[in-house]
This record gives sequence, C-alpha cells and structure tokens, in this order.
Amino acid sequence: MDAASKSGRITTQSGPGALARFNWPGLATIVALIALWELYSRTLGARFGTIASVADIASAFNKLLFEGPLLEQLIHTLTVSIIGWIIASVIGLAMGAAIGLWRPVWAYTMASIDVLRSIPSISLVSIALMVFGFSSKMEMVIVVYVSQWPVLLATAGGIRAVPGSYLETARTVRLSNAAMTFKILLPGALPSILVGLRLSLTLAIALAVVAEMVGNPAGLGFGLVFSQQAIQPAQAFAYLVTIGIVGWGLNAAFVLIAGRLFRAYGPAL
Amino acid sequence: MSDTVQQPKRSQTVPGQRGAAPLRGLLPLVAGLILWQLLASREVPYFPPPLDWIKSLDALRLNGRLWPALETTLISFFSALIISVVIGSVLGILLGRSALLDRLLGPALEFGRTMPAGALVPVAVLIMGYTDTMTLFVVTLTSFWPILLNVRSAARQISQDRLDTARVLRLSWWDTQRKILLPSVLPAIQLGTQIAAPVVLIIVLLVEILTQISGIGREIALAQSTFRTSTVFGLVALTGLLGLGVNWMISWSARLIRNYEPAGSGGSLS
Repeated sequence: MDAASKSGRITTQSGPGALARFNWPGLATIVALIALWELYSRTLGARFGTIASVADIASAFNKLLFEGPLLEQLIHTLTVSIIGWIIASVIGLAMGAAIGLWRPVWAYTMASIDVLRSIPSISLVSIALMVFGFSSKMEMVIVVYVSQWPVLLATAGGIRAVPGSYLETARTVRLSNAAMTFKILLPGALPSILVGLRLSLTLAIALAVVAEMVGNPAGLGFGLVFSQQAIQPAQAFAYLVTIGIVGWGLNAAFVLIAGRLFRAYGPAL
Repeated sequence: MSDTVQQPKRSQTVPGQRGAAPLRGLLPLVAGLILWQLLASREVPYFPPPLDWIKSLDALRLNGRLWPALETTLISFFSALIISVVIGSVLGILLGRSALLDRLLGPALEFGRTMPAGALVPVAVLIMGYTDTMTLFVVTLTSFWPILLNVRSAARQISQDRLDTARVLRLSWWDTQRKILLPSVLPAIQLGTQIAAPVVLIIVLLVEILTQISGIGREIALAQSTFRTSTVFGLVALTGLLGLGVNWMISWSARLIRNYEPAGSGGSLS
C-alpha cells in the first residue's frame, strides 16, 4: 500500500498517468448511488413526501445560493470553524508541549485532562448556551474548547514517544535544552501532531455545525435545522450536501497543505 | 518529594513510554471543584457550586425522572454501539480483503467519513420521524467509520502465513473467517470501538437534545431552556461520568483481547 501510494505520487507529476490512475470505478459508484437515489425518490420514496429527488435538491441548492442565505451561512461556518481551530491548535500545542516536556506537569494534570475530555462535547453546548446565550461567542467557545484536546494529546503523546536513542544522540552532541526541544522533540512529534491537528479540524467543523443547530441562529447548522422544522426536505438535503462538502473539502485541503509543507513526514497522513 | 525520586529515572522512563496517568493528576480538578464550591456566589446564577449540582440531581431522582432517562440513554448507547461494531467489522473485512470492492466504494466512503457528525440528525428526523429506529440509524451511520477504517487496514495486512495455514488445514470458508480473519482483526475492532464509543454517546445525546423525546439529553435541554443551571451542570457532570465509564469499559475490553489473542489463535489452530 505504501509502495503503491509512493509510486502514485511520482506518476501524478508526470501527468498522463494520473488520468489512467484516477479511481473511475469509485466515481462510477458515486454516480450510480446518486442515480439510484433519484430513481427511488421518484418511485417508491415519492409516497413519503420527504425524500427529495436529486433535481429538487439541486434547484433548492441553486435557490439558496443565489437568492437565499446559503453563501453567508457557509462563510459564517467556515470562519468560525477555521478561526476556532487555529485558536484551539495554538492552545493545544502550548499545553501539549508543556505536558510532554516536563514530567511533573504531566503527572499532575493528565488525569484531570482525561476526566474533563470525557465529558461529551454536546452536553457542554447546553452550559455554553446558558452562559453566553444564543450567540456566535457561544459557538466559538465550544469549538475551541472541544477541538483543543486532540492537538494537546497528540503533542504531549508525540513528544513523550520520541525514541530514547534520539535523546541520547542529542545529549552526546551536547544540544542545549532549546535546541533539543526544537531540533529533536518537536520534529520527532510532528507526525503525531499532524494527526491531532487533522482530528481537531474535523471536530471543529462538526461542533460548529452542532452549536449552530442547537444554539447560535446562524450558519449552515441553523439553516439545516430551520429547513427541517419548516419541513423543506429539498432544502435540508441541500444543506446536508453542503456541510458534507465543507467537511470533505477542509479535510482534503489540510492533507494537501500539510503534505506539501511536511513532505518528509507524508506517510503519517 | 516524589519528583526528586523520579528525577534520576527520567531518562529511562520518559522516552517511548505511555503508561497510565497517575491518580495524583486529579489534584488540579479536585482543587478546582473545591475552590468553585467555596467561591461560587449565589448572586451569579451561571456557575452554581458543585454541591448544588448533586442536590438538583437528587431532586430529579425524587421526581422519578433521572433513572428512566438514564436507562433510555444507556439502551440507545449500547444498541447503537453493538450495531456499529458489527457493521464496521463486516464492511471493514470485506473492503480489506477485496481490492475491487475497496476501489468501488472507496470515494463514496471517503465522503461519508468526513461528513461532520450530527449533521445527519435533522435530515433523519425529517425522513423517519421521531422514532427509536431513527436514533439507532443516525447514531450508527455517524459512528461506525473508525471501526471500518481500522478493520479495513488490519484486514489488508493479515500475514500470508496465516491465510496459508488455513489453506493447508483445509478450513472451510466459514472456519477461515472465524478462526483466522476474526482473531487477526480483533485488536483493530477494539481500537476502532475505542474511538467510536465516545462519538456514539455524543450523537445519542445530540439526538435526545434536538428531539426532546426522552433520555438524559432531553432532561439537559429542558433544564437549559428553563434556566435551571444547577440541574444542567449536574446532568453534564453525569454525562461526564458516563463518558469515563465508557472509556474504562473499552480499556478493560482491550486487556481482555490482549489476553485472548495469542492463546485463542493458537488454540483454534491446534
């Protein structure tokens, strides 16, 4: 598998190979699934009245995009998720590094962190709602609080898992503490940190959408719940597909950018 | 004092070791809760002191609403978890053992996997209404991904030796699945379940909060909309305990599987 993906990377650059290597059967499956859905919605599904056909979903999407609030809501959700994710990453990296670098900090905080992060994120939305009201501030607080944990754990765990032989080498060549941190420990932890960053990006979008569904009357999550309550299946599906594309797109963008920036660590993603 | 004892050991214990966090790490949390209890003022209703949480939970219990809600939530949680494990394992083995299926379904699954958790809930409500089936459907559909992905990569990497052994022993198709494949992917199922279980709990609660039909989630949503802050904090702490219980249960199952794997696979082969 690894060898295959490596050779794949080489052919991507050479151009014509990419077209042949593209997963056409996979794309065909998606097209077939969409066609099946269309068929179902027009035959058996039609009697339910809540199964929107692909054509209806597409026209609802168009209407929402050009006459409705979709673009504004999309920008809202994207902004909150990305800014929240960045803040959470900075906090998570700093706290994770402190926990990973100093053993006493680890010993005296880790169990508390384990307890705090096992509180299901959704129940915290209710507390945030009471404290901050139905606002974007509430949404941001939830996104940051929940998505800091994966980065924190990945950073701390990654630093603590740097092989002992690296540390001994560093000691042998008498690296200073700062050099040790920035040349050995953090690069050693990078693959783990990247995985944590990716997980927390996924969480950030999910929690932004959930917070919008339950509390903040803005963004894609609100649009989705609003369509559901107004019994507008085509609209609801249009929102669902948009949210799916946002989740998929941000994930793909992260993998692409991180892959470019940290090419040497590619296999970790 | 304990720090000075540990200092010399540090170079040996820190690298590569990921033991369980020591219990003294609970100190900040406990200290924080005690400070909260002492400093919380009655005039600010947002942050009621921890002892009030317990009192309001007790009031809820006396109303006869706590245990039924807890029961509903736990039943939904365990049913959805079991369905997720079964679907995730079966699909994972299929995709891991069949390159064709993997290629066919790969992109569709890639899209489904990155779908932000929870977004499916309103659409499922719209189509299926407020039913238990809807809850199970939506929770399973959001949470079986980690199991699927872990099992798929484990099934891809099953050593040829093990499969050859099955051939030499002329095991039937069913016995090969049961005695060779399943034990080989069992650790992956466990790992996937470890990641999936908290998601299951979150989505169960989300469905309950959104639909307000039953369960702990409904109680949280009701208490929040009527601004009973100490009840909300109490219930949130309760869900935290549930989360801890889930984690504990899963790590216990990990130990069970570690004990089982070598003996089990050796036993079934001999």
